[in-house]
Amino acid sequence: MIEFIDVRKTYGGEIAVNGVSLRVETGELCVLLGPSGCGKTTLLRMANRLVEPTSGTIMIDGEDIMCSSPVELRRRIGYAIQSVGLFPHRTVAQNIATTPELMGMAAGKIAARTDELLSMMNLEPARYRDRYPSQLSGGEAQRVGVARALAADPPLLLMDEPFGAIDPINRAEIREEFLALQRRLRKTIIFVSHDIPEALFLADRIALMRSGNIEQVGAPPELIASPATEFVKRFFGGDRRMLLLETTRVAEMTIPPAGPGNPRAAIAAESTLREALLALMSGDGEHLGIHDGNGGMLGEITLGDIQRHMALAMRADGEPRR
Amino acid sequence: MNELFPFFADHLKDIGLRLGEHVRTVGVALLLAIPLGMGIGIALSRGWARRIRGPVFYLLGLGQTIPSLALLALAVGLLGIGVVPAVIALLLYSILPIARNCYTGIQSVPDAAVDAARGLGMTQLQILRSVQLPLAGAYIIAGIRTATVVAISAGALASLIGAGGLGDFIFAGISLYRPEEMLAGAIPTALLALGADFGLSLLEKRLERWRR
Repeated sequence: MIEFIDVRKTYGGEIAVNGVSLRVETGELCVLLGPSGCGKTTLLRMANRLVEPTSGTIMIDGEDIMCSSPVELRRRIGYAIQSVGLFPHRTVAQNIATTPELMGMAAGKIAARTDELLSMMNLEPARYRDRYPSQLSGGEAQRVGVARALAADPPLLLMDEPFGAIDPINRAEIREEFLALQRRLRKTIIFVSHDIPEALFLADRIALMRSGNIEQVGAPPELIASPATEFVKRFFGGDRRMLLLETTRVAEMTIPPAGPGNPRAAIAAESTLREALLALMSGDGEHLGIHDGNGGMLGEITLGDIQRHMALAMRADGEPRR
Repeated sequence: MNELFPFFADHLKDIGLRLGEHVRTVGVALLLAIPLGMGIGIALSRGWARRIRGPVFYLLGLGQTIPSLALLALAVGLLGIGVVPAVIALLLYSILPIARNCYTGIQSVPDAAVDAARGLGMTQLQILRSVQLPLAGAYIIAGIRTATVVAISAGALASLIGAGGLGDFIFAGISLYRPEEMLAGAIPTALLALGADFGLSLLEKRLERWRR
């Protein structure tokens, strides 16, 4: 768990971060989203003291980060950046081994860990471990960057647009892999992004920032359905109903119990409302069964249930609350 | 000219002796210039040195613009004749290329690599040792290479202030108009410079092997 309490950062007279308070729970992936220059990267870099706050407190698991030396603190926190910053004179394996080596892990253990991480990132260890960064594609380099951040198995990860420098197709793929990995590892992650689809896809919660302030914090459907300010509403733009369908999971709806007779089709509760809608429209039945992914039936929904949920979620019809 | 080989054959021992003196004077000067030049280059690459960077390079450059002969004469004026003033004059002469290349090399390291190194928990010293210097390695060797070649050639002049070396043959040959004696100094000096240049160029390439 990491908590920012009234954290400020000013450069001369310029305010970069203006008294921000934010709490990211253990195992949560929180995306700092916002236009460039909104202070999201500065906020992130204060968490491992790459930037020292002008005032305010940052606590990691209840301990003020100012109590440990910057170097010691950073070794306990994973760090991945957009430009990747792989060391060009070191092989992939040596790059990944950076933090474990700094922490004095035994060579044999490091080699095993390196291979484990490469496999985890879908890079075949035998093919990749002895390559130099100049022999990697953009996507491969970013995977290695993430593996390097995970190397010492830190409970907390700071990621500054770690998938920013790759083409859209590979980006979607690496994003999906990363989400699957996070579902398994359950790290506490602060993830800086300026990409709305990426934020909506990855975030447990989004902190939307503008000029040094957090405009709103919440789960993606919450920000879309009930924006706190005009800025939040405008930021997501386009058809917010569509975004809501894409970001809400069926599990978040009230699912009526299944009636007599089995529905013809069923989908997992983890699916989005958009997927449920498509299933309802392409199937010939009026009801769509919802299962828990392990064969257990949770109930069934109709088109009307989705409509009701959407109406409820959007009841303010997007009028900002303040 | 056909007396070159007999001269060589007769003076083999002498040539070896002078070559030894030459290598000693130049070698000592370089052994001092390398740590000193690298120290200056590293110091100037630090953030706190931003203000003094210009003036320091200007001063070092000034040393370089003084003709080597004049620098040797200055050294004699201050320190008398012999090996010590020769070493000091050559030292002053070789610092600039080493310091400048070391500084440029460190500046050439991608910011992202340094940022990542900091973020992963390296100390300033660890960043310098395992990221900045290795990545600047080829630049640093190139600087040492330039300094070595310059020092070997200028080292021939050291004979004029009593430091011995292959210059002894060259200047004796010129004043007595004995081309074979002059060449007995000039050829080994040239070969020494070429050899050092080639050897260091191999090292430079080796340090660049990750840049494929």
